[in-house]
Amino acid sequence: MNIVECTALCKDYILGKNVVHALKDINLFFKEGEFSAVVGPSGSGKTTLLNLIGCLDKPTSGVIKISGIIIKDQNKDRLADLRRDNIGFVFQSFNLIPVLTAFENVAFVLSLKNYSKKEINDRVYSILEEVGLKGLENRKPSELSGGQQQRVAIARAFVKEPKIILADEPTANLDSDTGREIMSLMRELNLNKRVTFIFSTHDKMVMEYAKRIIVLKDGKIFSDEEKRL
Amino acid sequence: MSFLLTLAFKNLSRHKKRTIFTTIGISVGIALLIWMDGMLRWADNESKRNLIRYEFGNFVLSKVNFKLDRDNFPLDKLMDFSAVKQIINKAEKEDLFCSPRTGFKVVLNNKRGFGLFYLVFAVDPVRYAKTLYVAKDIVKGKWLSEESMGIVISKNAAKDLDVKIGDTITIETKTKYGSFQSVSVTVEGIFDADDPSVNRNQAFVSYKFSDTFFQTESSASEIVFRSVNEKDEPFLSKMKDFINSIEVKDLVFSTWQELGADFIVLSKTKRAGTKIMIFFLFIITAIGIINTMLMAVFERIPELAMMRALGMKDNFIIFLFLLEATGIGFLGSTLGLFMGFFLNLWGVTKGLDFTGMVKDMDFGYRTGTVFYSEWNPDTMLLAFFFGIFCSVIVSILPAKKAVDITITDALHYQ
Repeated sequence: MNIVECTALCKDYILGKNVVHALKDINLFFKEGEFSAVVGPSGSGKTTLLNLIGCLDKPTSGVIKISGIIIKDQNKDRLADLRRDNIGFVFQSFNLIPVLTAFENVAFVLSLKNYSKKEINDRVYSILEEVGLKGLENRKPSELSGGQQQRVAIARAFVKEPKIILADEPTANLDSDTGREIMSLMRELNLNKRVTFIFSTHDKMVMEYAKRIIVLKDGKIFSDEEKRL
Repeated sequence: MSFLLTLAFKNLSRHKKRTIFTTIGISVGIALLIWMDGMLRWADNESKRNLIRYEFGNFVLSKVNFKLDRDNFPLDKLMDFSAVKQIINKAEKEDLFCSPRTGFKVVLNNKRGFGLFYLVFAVDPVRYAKTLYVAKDIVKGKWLSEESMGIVISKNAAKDLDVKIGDTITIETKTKYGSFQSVSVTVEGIFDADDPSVNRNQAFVSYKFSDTFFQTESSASEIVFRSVNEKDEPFLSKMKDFINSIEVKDLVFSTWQELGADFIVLSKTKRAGTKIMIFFLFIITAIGIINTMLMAVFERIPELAMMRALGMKDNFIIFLFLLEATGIGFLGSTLGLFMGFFLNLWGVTKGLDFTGMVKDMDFGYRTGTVFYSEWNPDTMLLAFFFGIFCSVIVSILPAKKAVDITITDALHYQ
């Protein structure tokens, strides 16, 4: 079953008097449980594609469906609900809330879904243990290493059990060893929880982990290949 | 909700110095408002009390045509002695303090010929001492007696004329029948009233003196009434009924509010001044809060974008900022309330002494030069909530700014 469907997707940006065609006629489909990488040089449209799939932006033309819902027809609040219920994000610069502890950063997304306090505690402690942060729950981001911060971000994305996780260059701010650890963790969670995983990267190490690699060039799909395991 | 509260509280502690400075800004504004209001309120009420105690009592009875020309204190429009006696007897049965007085526009001269324009009241010394307060404020010498042939002048007049108790001054005026009269009189007492207007303008002689030298024949230009509790009603109504029942015609009551109209107008103007102060307080608070909230918004744009990306609705983001603003407003208002309380406490007990600065200046209030304060719990409460309200109101725009920027732009905002 396709969880994400992009049909004839175009996205233009207006920069001064110029129109930049960031994405041109993209047709892409992602199935449940996929672990896919969108790769390509800078300016190829990777982040734009992830933003559109993540309902953070709307396409200039074409259709995106997330779990069968056409995002173009949704207002701001319904898009927020759609993101809250279906999509997790892992950002390149972690984007944790600096005044909150690791526990609170993860609990934040559950509080948006009105979970009970007990349920929040159970889920957050469990996911933090799963990502290897047991015992560090009360540390603030400034007291954690880059790799640990990204683990908190991953826990935050996974804790609400979304259907899709979008990761924009998740290892770009990490050294290669930590990057490998993070990719292994994400792969493990992908296999255990059957969450569709789409990440953008131009790191060859990261691409090694992907089951499907979509190469973008100048806003178009240059290649789309699934790896044989 | 509890998460938003926790986050708002933690965000306030994110930049402690900034929060503290904004809080101090608000608290100083609130404290000044409370203190200034307390002082102005005291000045207002003290002036009203002094208008009643020193100048007009609660109301003044005079002939209609005298009232129309009261500024000149005409001596041909006086109430005759029999009418005065009848009215006083009735009033005293009603537990009212009352006293007749006859005003003369005079020039007081010292022996070197230096003259001052004053209003001399011929009074019944015993009744006047019961009715108005000036006899209580004698600082040198003594108040008049029924047989006195001397004069009681103010401390200001004594200083300006350079005279002391026992010295002689000359009164120049017109008698009841229009002839010029110049009389030497001994200074018998010097007063220092709480009402600066009385200190600047009034002097007192006995009826015996005025009957002898100014041919007043114990007639009165007006009768001053003061009720025991200094409230106008119901004595005013009773006296009106009484005046209607006697055969003396053409009499009219004037309330202290009518006679002290200059002060009432000033009081209203000062109240408008308080509103201007509140406006400035609003501006100070607004600038501090807007600055703090805008800085909070701009430094947290990527973080806010992340929260929105994870599904937090824009209204919650705005609500988060309003909670933070409420927190700052609450801290500032609470601190301001305490500061205002202690400033007022000092004002109530010690007061602010302007004597050296404004000795001879008339700034409209009928008060002494030591400015006290009055407790104002209503203003304290109002200022407290006003501080919080202002903080919330002026934070709406910065908060909306936080969600105006698109999530995709905000995520990469630097």
